[in-house]
Amino acid sequence: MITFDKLNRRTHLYLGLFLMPWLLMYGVSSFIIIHEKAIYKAKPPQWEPLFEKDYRRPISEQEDLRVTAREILKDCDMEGAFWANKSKPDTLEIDRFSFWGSTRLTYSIKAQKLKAERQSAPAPEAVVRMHFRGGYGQPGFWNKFWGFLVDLACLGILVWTASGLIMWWRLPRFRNWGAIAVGGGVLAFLLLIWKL
Amino acid sequence: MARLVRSVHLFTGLFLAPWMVMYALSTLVMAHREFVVSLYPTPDPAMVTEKELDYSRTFPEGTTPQEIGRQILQDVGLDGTHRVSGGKNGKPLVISRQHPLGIHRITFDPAKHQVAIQREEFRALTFLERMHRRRGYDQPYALEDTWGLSVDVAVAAMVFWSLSGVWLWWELKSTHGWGTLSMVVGWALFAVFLLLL
Repeated sequence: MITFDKLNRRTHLYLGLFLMPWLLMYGVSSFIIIHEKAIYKAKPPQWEPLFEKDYRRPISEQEDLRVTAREILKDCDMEGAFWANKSKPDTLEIDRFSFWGSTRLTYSIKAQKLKAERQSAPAPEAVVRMHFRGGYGQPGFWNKFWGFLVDLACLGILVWTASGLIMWWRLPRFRNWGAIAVGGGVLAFLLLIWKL
Repeated sequence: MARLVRSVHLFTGLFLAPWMVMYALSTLVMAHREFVVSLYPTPDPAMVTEKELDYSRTFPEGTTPQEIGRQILQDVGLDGTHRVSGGKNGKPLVISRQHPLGIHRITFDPAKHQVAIQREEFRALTFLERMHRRRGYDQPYALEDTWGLSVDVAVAAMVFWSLSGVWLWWELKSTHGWGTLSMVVGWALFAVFLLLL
């Protein structure tokens, strides 16, 4: 039968190998977010026109904006993650976004025209988009699954911490230096929180 | 070499455990924000007035709101990372002192020569969100830079743990089968997300 120590070590290892892409992505994207100005200069968005066409969809004030936006995206065969905004009374803007860029749909209700433009995200921005993506608010199986894996990555970090502490404690020759590392870390963290 | 990599993997993990636990918990609460907020009686934590002081210091014409804000913080013993708003045309100046455990809001009314100090009630959700978003380096305080450095170290460690983890796994021959499967499934799934999302 597998012992607790072996189960603990294997969980730490296999979970780490499985979640490695997420850990790397969070590491790299956090560095980009913190040092954004030094890494790349945010340029004004370059929108490339995709199409402009006649489009008719009555929009009532009472209707949920997201429901309407989802219908429009369905009509354009562009379903996926999006934000919807009605900045002017007769204009509905939909941001259909992915890791690699955004497609902006602008529906002029009065003129009954639908315009689509596309903007690509450079590689550093794509990684940052992955960092900020989480939760279950967007439609579709893969969006929800991503949300689940973000949760799993967080639980993974908690499991690595707990299993790492157990592994350290079970290795007597590391106990003293490990205690200094744990104590030093906790003390430094608490001190920073207290003094910041 | 493997022994050295294992030791660095272990000791950096032990030292940075508080940062990683904070980032994991804060990401979870942000991903499920609506639910977590519903556990509290109000959407935002209450501001409690701590004290109101007479404040007689005057500032020469041309002093910027930022300079006034910093001076007031020093005078009331709350110097540190902050944001300043208002303070133009004789209107009250509001200083938000960004303390991790709860913001201090200091309002200076130049007409009444008074300073009011309010403190935000502690809330675990707000604390975690605030620490998650705190990047450091953007304020003229050594402590803020120290926090920024600690975040940089945590970020570098995340990359190191991933790469050293692969090395340490490769040294353990008996785990090659399941390890390969875990890694391939993880990367394949991530690649699918890159294509679809």
